[in-house]
Amino acid sequence: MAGEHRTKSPKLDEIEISLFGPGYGECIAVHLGNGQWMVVDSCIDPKSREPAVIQYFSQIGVDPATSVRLIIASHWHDDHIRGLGQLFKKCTSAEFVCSEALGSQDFLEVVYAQGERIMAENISGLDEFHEIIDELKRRAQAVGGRLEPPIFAVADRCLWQSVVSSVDVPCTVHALSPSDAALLASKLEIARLSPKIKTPKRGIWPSGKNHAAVVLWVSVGDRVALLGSDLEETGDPYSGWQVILKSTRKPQAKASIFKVPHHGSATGDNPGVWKEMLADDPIAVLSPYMLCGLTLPQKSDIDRLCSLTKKAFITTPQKSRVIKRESAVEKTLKDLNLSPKQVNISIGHIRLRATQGEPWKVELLQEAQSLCKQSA
Amino acid sequence: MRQPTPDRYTRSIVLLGDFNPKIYQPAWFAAENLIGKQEAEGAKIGVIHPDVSIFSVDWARIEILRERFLVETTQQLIDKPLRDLVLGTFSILRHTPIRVLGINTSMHFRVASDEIYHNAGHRLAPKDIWEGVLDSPGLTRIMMRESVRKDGKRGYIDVRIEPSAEVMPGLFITVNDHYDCDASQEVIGCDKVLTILKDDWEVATARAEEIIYTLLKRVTSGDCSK
Amino acid sequence: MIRGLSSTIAQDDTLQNQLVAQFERQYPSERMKAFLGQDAPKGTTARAVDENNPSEDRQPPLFRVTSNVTEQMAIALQRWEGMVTTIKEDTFVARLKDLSTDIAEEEVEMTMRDVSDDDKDLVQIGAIFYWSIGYETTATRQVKRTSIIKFRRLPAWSAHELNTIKKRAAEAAMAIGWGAQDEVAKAG
Repeated sequence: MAGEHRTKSPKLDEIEISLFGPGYGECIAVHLGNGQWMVVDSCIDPKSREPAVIQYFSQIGVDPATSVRLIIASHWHDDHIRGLGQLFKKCTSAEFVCSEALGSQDFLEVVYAQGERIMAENISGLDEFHEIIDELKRRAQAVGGRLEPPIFAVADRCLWQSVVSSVDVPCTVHALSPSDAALLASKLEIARLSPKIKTPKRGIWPSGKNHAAVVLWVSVGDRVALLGSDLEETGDPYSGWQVILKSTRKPQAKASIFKVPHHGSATGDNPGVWKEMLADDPIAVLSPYMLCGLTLPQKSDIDRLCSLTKKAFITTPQKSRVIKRESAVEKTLKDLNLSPKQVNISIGHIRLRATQGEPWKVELLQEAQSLCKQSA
Repeated sequence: MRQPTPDRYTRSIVLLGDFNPKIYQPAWFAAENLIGKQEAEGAKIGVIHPDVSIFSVDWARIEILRERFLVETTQQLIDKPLRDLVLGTFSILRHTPIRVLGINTSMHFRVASDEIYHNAGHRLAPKDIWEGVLDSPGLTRIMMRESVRKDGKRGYIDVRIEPSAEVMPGLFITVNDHYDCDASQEVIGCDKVLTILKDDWEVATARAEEIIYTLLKRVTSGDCSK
Repeated sequence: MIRGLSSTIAQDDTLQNQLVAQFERQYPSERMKAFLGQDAPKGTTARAVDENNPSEDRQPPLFRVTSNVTEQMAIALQRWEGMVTTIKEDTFVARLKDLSTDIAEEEVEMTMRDVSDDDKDLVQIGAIFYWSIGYETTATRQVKRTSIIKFRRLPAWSAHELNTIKKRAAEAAMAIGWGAQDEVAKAG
């Protein structure tokens, strides 16, 4: 299912949801109508080393400086924000959105502690937040010091409202998380990670559940998408997916597109989401995750997803490779029985487009493929 | 393409300022977690004296005089820990007055033949102007200085090339990346030094190595255009 | 030359003072200063003095240590910087950044035996290490391939450093309204 008109931008009334994923990393570009775009998270194309979405915009003739209106960091784990700083600098008309869990002084201290060069650049995604904060400061100075704060996402907050003028349909983007309890848990975790006197200097690596992840509900007329970020099911009724399901303020419509949370893992799954928030046989899209000894989705995850919908797609097959190095290095690695693996080898792009009342067109570009074929 | 492998390699960090040599003992470094306990226990101590301390661990040699602090390693595999050792020491002793920082890189290269060796000397210092002045003149040392640093900091970069005393026939090339304190202050605390070591180490060391490899290639291949 | 100390590294000032006293007896201050006075020109350059021909420029102090540092040498063929992300029973997993190519999406699983005894306590989540592979030339001029893993040692966070970080964070928060959620909520 290769894309035929890869370089064509969507029509003004055509909604597009594009998911990019290179094996480690994820980025979603959403056309909200009227030539206005939202970008959720960021990942790097392994070949060009550029943010994947910037390359895509260049191919379809979208000017990021004028067309991108929202950039959302759905959480701060580094597989979701690689290249976000560079992207934000290019998207000079975009507002920046992140979880309210990051809106604390503690988080800024964590970012600036990372800036003390504890480690080489780009091992931890916090370098990206450093760039984003510097860009926000630059923009504030450029308008004479007037504050242009980021938008902090919290459950039930509306992040975007517009009307697609050519078809007169409303377009909204709502955050469905984090909940109050999740906010508290996240802030406590960030406070725990912030440097303390007489503690060792180490890299900052998040652990535990993705409490702070921002789940998005995107609605353009009758076209609805649920973007699940990395939100996991915690078993706690006040956080995770349970609290979203229980909310009386969540949108009542059903989504026909589902960005599967947490790379299809069992911990990201809640059957109630499929039953109550998704249309029958939705299109499910996801990116894989391969790092820290963990590969997602696992076979059981693929079987589960394919039992829930036949229209499930993954951005790139799960593969890693060993980088070829000179023979003395390879011999030494072999002698030591050590095998560094590269997980970002190639990138895939799932593109979904639809106008009002029309079914979604699915295009699998580059390495993207059907998930259910994998499990056969 | 891999760069030629040197026969000898040294990287050192030198600070000029006011130091108290006798406190810089292996035990102190281990107590501050700047080196491991076993490294400290296995250290070879030359002297620990109010005027000079010298000791070495497996991978580094440390020499402190009252006005000079030097750490050096011949192991390119672990030159960043050298930087960390200085960073760590003067993060703890941050009120130590320091006037000058030097990051030095030296390499000895064996050349393939006496002919290449002599041609290298001739490329660096053409002999025709010495005709009739000296009999069979030979280059013993040449030093060049970049007086105005491109990074805007006070200081200079010195590059010296001479016949190697350790590898024959061979060339010795050394780069001294020198940072001065501001003229408005006679001495500076450690903060400026620490900032340079944190922010500029990779650039400085990469630049030194590029200088050395570029010069080596030019003097041994006869290609001055690149 | 005196090799090492007793098996216990004491933080006891007494032991360190004893070491100084021992060398002071051996090299009284005037004698030491006389030797150092014959050293290479000092105070003008931050060049390492021991370069290429140490005997030419200076009279080394009597106790010049010809240590492993000048006898051994190692040249790197490949260098990574790593961060520990997962610790298992006998192994740990680390993210790697290849310092020559800037690729930062490699990962490796190493065993604790790959880590020196001195560094084992440093293996924690978030710990940074340097890993290099290259050629080592030993004191007897033998050349062999080698791999070295060395964990980064930096002193603990100090009050001064934390105050600097807090100050920068507060300035950034003021400059961009980070944390100005109430204002944002009011603005709808």
